[in-house]
Parts: sequence; C-alpha cells; structure tokens
Amino acid sequence: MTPLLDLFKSASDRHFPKGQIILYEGDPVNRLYQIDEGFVKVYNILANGTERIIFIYGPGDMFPLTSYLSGFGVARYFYECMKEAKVKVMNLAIFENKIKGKPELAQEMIKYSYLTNQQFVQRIDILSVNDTRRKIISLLAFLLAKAGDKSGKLNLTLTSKDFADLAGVTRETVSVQLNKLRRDGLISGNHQIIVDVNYLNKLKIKYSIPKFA
Amino acid sequence: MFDMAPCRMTGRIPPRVPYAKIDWVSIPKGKTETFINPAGFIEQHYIGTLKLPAIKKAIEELGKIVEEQKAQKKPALVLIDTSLAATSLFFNTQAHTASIKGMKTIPLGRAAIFGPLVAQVTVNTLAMITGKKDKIRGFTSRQEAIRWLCAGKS
Repeated sequence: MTPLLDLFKSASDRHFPKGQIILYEGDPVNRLYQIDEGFVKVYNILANGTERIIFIYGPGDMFPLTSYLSGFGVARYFYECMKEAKVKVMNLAIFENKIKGKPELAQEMIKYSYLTNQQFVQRIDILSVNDTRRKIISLLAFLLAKAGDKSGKLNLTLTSKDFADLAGVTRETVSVQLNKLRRDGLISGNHQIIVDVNYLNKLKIKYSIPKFA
Repeated sequence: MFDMAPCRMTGRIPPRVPYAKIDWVSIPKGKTETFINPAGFIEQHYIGTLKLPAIKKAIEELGKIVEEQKAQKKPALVLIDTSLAATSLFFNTQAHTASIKGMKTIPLGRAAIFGPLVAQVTVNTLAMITGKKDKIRGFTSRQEAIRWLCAGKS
C-alpha cells in the first residue's frame, strides 16, 4: 500500500450505487475520496446538453485532489459512479492534520497529482483527434489502462452511449467503428469487451498513440 | 535556376538557419531575480532550469530582504513568478526540502506564487505540510496573486 493510500485507512467507508453523482460541478471541495472498488466517471456537460466524459477513476485513485491542491476550491467536473462503488471519504481538515509535517507525503501527492494531470491532458488530446478510428483505438488503450486486466478484459460494462460520451462522437459513429474493430479482431464480446492486447499494441504504433502515463 | 538547385549537388553548401535567427528566448537560461517591486512587494522570478545551489541562494536572498523590510516596519509581502521556470523545479526533492525550510524560517507576511498548475499544486502542498496555508498560496495568474497579496496589506 502506498503512503498516500495508507492515509485513508482510517477514513469512513461509503457505498454509492451506480449512477449516483458524488460531486457536482461547482460543489465546494471539502472532502477527499479514495476509491476502493468500482469506477467513477468525470465529465462535464456541453452547451448542447451532451455529456463529455473526460476521465475515469478506478480502484486506488483519489479525487478531487488537483482541484483541492491547486486552490481552486470547487469541483471542476461532475463525478458519477459507473458501477456500484465503495469509497473512502475523508474530511479535508482531518487530511491536512494527517499530512502536516510529513514532507515525504508531499512528494507523493505532488507526483500523483502531476501524473493524473498528465493523464487528463492525454485524454483531452484523444478527444481533439479528428480521425474517429484513431480516437476509438486511443480510447480502448485508455480503458485498458484504467479498467482492464492483463488478458485484455475490461472490468467495466460500457453502453454505446458511454463510448460515445468517452470518444466525443455520436452513438452511430461509435457503433460503426466498434463493429469494424470487431471484424478486424481487435475486440470481442458485447457487454464485456475483450481487447486483443498484442493487436492493440501494433495499432498504437501504427497510429502513433503514446503510452498512457 | 541554378540557385534553386537541390543541395545534393556537389560543391554546394546546404542552406542553414542563420545562427542569429535561432529563437534563444524560448530556451531560457537558468537564473533567479529578486527585487522590490514599485508597488511595495518583494518580487522574485525563477527562470529556466535551476540547480539546487541557485534555488537555495534565491531563498536566502529572499529571507534577507524580508528581514530588511521587517526591520523597516514594512509589510513582508512576497510575489514569486515561476511561469518561466522549468517543470523539473517542482519535482526536485531537495528543492522541496529547501523550500520547506524557507517557509518555516522566513517571517513572511504573505507570499503568493504564480505559475503553471504543477507550481500551484507544489506550493499549496508544501504550505499545507508546513502549516502556513493562510500565508502562502499558489495562483494561476499574476493578477490573482496580486489581488490576494493586496487583501493582506491592511
């Protein structure tokens, strides 16, 4: 267990059902959350009403650490459970007391926050790509890094709407591209997607998709 | 036509970017600057890639100026610009240790540090560790930093 996760040992456990919004955009940040089980999607709502999923937090992740450490004070996005989640919750005052006088924890926090920001930037880069095929392949690489196991199985059930919101394209486009990738042999399974990891690695080289931070 | 011939032609030197035209501004040299701003703040700039001795020296210099200001019964308000500093500055463990020492020993009135997101995160984290969260804060822009410093003038 990393020293950062160790901090949450004594924090209170909370269970959130699937679809529960833990934090709304603009909510004051007065608690920190650490995921034990489950996945939380981070999204914003565009002017036309569509959701844009920026990021997915999985087991071991903490949020909203950067909003808190940057001094922003409020949540920048919505945080919603993608499946039932077991989360540890800690009040900021308690968190601050725990880390006071511990520079080694500061290093960990700075590193963790930087890495998460890098991942956010990579995700935003994926969203800005015009080539849909490349976008979906990058998305699969991201999903595999966040919610996949070594065999390529995604531990997350995604609907075509989720895929569309994650890729920033329409559901129809996503369906067409996923079917093509299925025919190519990159993915298999319907509800529980399994990715051919070796093939994905070859495609990542072909489409110059960087390794996920 | 001969002028437009490819550089592969024997006896011709390939055209190169003139030395003077290289944008050296985008590769800032590592340095720090400390001075008193006309508005009364102690201002410090961190530029480029800095090594530990330079960082320590800058912190020492800041400490001296703060002491001088205090002796003259002037408020010790510090504005630090890290927007041109290399990102490596914020991951240097020894620089963190030096900063923590500075935060604990320098009798600051208020210190506002502005720069990239990583700078804000680093500053706020270190301020939290040292228990100086109310006196030291990281900001995105110079304007926000000055606004917060001005609020502490009275």
